[in-house]
Amino acid sequence: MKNWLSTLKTLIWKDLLQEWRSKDMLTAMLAFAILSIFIFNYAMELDPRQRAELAPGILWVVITFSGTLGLNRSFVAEQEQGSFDALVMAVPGLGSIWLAKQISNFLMMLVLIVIVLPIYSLLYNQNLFVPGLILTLILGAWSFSAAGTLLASMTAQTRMRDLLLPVLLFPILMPVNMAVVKAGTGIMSGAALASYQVWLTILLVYGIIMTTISLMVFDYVILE
Amino acid sequence: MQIKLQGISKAYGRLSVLKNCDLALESGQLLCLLGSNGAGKTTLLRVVSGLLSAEQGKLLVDGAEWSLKSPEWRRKCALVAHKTFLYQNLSGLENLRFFSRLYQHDLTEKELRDRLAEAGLARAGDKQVRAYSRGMQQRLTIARALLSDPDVLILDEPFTGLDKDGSAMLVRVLAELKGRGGMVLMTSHDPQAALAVTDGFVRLSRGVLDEVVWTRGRTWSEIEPNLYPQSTLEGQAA
Repeated sequence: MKNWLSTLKTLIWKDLLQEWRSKDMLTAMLAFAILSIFIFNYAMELDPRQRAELAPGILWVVITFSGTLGLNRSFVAEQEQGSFDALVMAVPGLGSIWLAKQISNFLMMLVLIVIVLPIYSLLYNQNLFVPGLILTLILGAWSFSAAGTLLASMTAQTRMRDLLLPVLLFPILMPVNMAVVKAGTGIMSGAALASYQVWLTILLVYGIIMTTISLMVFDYVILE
Repeated sequence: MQIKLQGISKAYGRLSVLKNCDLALESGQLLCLLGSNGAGKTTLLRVVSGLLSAEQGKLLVDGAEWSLKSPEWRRKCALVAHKTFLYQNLSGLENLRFFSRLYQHDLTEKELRDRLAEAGLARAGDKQVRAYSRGMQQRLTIARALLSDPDVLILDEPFTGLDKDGSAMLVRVLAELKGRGGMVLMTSHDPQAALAVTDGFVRLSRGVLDEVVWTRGRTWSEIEPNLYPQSTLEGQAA
């Protein structure tokens, strides 16, 4: 277990250091996210009540579309010089490769959320620093990166990965998308916890199931 | 230690790339795999290193059957392939440190710098790999492969991009590995360059492995007729 955690830490360190130096993922994600928020802001004239209700939906669209751009880039370093093969030969449990990449992608999503929230709040003149909404976005980001990392590891080996990943990912993410938007709308409109609690539960269960399945099938996905 | 590969077959769809290949290697032995482009050499090396699954065949290690896809087997092997397996945004030192930690060897800074110096990269260790020339990357790749002290070293065209000093370094490293009981399986398009270190040549032709031709201190002109009997006869007839 100690070795497994040490391997995981080493892999995450490598991913973050690579990203810090290349800015491959974050640049694409942030540019798309900020641009989208500006476009939404100019395209829709909303009164304060509508703003509160639509904010979680708009935010989640921006986050998932930007996140997909990031996911497409997340295996570039491994594909570029074939280092994925070296990882497979060096690491005893291949699940740690997936989990490390998943955690790195999740951290990128968190950075995205941290940057996007204040920009959105400023442009729409609306306070989005609501603990419930932040928790919902974090749970959504975990589920998104869990499903996305597994699919990105499969599509990274294909020539059509830029097209294939969203086509495969978005149908799988339907429960997450619905849960984030419904729970977020409930929180922002001040509804009682009981009215949206089921959506938070769905998010939590989806994240756990997707993480478990990915850990179980990653060996097969990579070696077959 | 002895390894035997028996009846290895691999196909990509309907294209059969390896057909019932048998190969044996013993401690301290180096075999050089020869064959024209598309003969299946790289596929065979990837199957042996556990990165590609074969449709048929088995691996025996000291007589006991092992799975080619098991992590234990993969960790006994190290592969130097056409791609360098290096992270371009990390320095040479960071790449070695990363892989040594994955192998749970956790070499010290001094030990890692010694490895870099052995590969002739002492001064380039702190530069990012993307600033390295092809030859420097190949040197680092070889140093990376040796980090795990592998029992079986698998090399696909290892002399590619290496200058005279680099080739001499590789020959020295291979001799050392053989000296401490390691096994080496490599491919080469330049068998005469490989003659300095190899114990035998084996030819792969359209997915079929020929018998091993042992060098036994012979010169290339003495070995060549055994490897390419038909072409030699054709040459004499012409």
